[in-house]
Amino acid sequence: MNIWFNALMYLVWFLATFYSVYFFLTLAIYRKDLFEKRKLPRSFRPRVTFLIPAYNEAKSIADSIKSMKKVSYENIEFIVLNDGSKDDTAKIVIENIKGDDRFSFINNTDNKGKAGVLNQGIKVCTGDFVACMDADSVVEPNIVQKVIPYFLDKKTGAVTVSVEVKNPKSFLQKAMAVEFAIGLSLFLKIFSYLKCVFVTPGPFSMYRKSMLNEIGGYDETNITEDHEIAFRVHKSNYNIENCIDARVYTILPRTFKELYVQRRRWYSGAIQTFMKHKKMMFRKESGFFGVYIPFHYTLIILGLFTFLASIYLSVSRFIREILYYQYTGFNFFNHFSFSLDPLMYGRVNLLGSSLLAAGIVLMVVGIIVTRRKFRNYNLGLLGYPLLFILYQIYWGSAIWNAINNKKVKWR
Amino acid sequence: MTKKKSVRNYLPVLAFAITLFLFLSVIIIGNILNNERQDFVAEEMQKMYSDFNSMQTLSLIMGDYDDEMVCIAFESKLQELDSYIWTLAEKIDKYRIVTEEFQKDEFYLKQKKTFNENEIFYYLMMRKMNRQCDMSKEPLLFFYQNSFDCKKCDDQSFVLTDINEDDDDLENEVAIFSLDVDLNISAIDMMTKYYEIDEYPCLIFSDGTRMCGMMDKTIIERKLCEINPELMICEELNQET
Repeated sequence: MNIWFNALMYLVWFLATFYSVYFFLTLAIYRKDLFEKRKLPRSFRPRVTFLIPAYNEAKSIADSIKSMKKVSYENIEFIVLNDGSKDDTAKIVIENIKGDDRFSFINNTDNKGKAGVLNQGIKVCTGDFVACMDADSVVEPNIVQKVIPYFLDKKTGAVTVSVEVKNPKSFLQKAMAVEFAIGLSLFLKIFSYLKCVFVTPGPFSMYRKSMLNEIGGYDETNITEDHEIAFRVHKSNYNIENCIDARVYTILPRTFKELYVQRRRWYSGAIQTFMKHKKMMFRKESGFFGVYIPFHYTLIILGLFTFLASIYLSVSRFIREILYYQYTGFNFFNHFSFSLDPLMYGRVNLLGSSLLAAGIVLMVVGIIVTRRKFRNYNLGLLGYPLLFILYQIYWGSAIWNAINNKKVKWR
Repeated sequence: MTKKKSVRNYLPVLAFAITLFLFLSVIIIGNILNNERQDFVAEEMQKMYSDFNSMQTLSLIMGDYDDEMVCIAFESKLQELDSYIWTLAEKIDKYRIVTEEFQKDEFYLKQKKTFNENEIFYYLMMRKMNRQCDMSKEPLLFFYQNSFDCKKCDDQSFVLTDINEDDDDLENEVAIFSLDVDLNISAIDMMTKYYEIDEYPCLIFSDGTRMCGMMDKTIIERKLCEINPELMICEELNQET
């Protein structure tokens, strides 16, 4: 077992280090362009539609509408789509959009699913560009002015923004705020340079309407429609850009149970999407995206195996040692020693420690280059590495569900 | 932007080269640490040889010189040796585990063999001195196999470590000799035949009592106290009972 574990560690280390080095090199090349402000020419004022699907969002949709009302772009329409909510969502929407003719409301009494209502909105909207936005998210007033210039390039099919956490309160939310600051901000930006953005986050992403018509809108059978659509954007030879300077604020799971439900859907959806588009992999026409995605998932699977193997080795060692103590009357003190012997460090320990160090460097660099402040995260900085342990469990659960053909629902 | 795009094309090669460089650095640092470990073990083994030589000299001059003085010198040497010999055995095992990632390391196998041979020497020397100098050091022989063939050998080793720790905290009166029967050392083979050991782990006490199979701490301590009630660990045992 140990030999296999060591071999796995070497392999994971090599792939993960290659990934990190590639990431840092790209960051080094483009570091000055991260916050590059693209000018919006006077002649370019296309019509923009915001689509806001809502299912049982009575608690948060008023804030969301309030933030949309402050959006300063003029040639705009907002369409709120009720997805058969069972709470007061419809009533709150009607109250809040009253008197603002930029807003319209489609009140579906049946539940079509998020992708279903978004497709309904795409059909009726009049915008040249469509921003899909979650009903529990809020946007900054100048978000459209920041995002729309990216579409001057005809090859741009979609633009993502930085996803921030709205009022992180719990330890879990603070840890996730760090994760989002890196994963759904800096990573998306770097991926956009490498032409391999594989998600157009649900809280806010803007699409070229003609491209949406071309690819047939969202896949209504997929539980992660924002992930799946990214694959088809690439397939249609459009690029997905990222405007790191534009921000959307969203609500995150407060409890571990809520997080589990969210991630089970994300990861199960990722597997579903990968299986659907597996033919895109290693194809010349898929470009770097077709190489990156299999590499990404290989690393995740190998990481999961390494995690499971370390858990197995640690737990079996722990149980064995606990069993030893039964012979000594559970005298724990005789076997505790705090002497630090640097010679006890083998190559596998060095590999593990260097990966941990790389993770910490990535976190620090991520916060600095995205112009965030460490003090805003506090405990979240400690919690962020712990999230990776949880995610291994969630990935394991998603893979298990996929193997057993168990369907995961959106909600 | 075009320049950046052309640089971007070379990124995979550059990233691979840097990763390879980092990988080789880890391998080199790992090798340096391996060498450091080997140097440490070799140095400690050298120290052990030197102590054994001193003891042998003391043993040879006994009878020609003042026996009492020799016994005092011998006892002091024994205490000194006892303080690090257990730790050294543990370190050889731990360093071997850390070093051996994919294959058996010959260095540690050789060191372990030498260590075991010296342990027998140390054991015999101690028996002799116990007789001639009226010392109260209580020897205990522990015969073991690899953990694959002997599931309980590691458990027994743990218990003996515990007894050794207790003893170190008191007067250091018990000397435990761990003998690996897999090493094919003729002296160990001879001893296993002499004591008719056919089951592992197996303990041999100074009165010749053989206890094979897994023994818990209390059983071993009771036996040690039965042989030598003056041991400090017996006081604690009596208090507990």
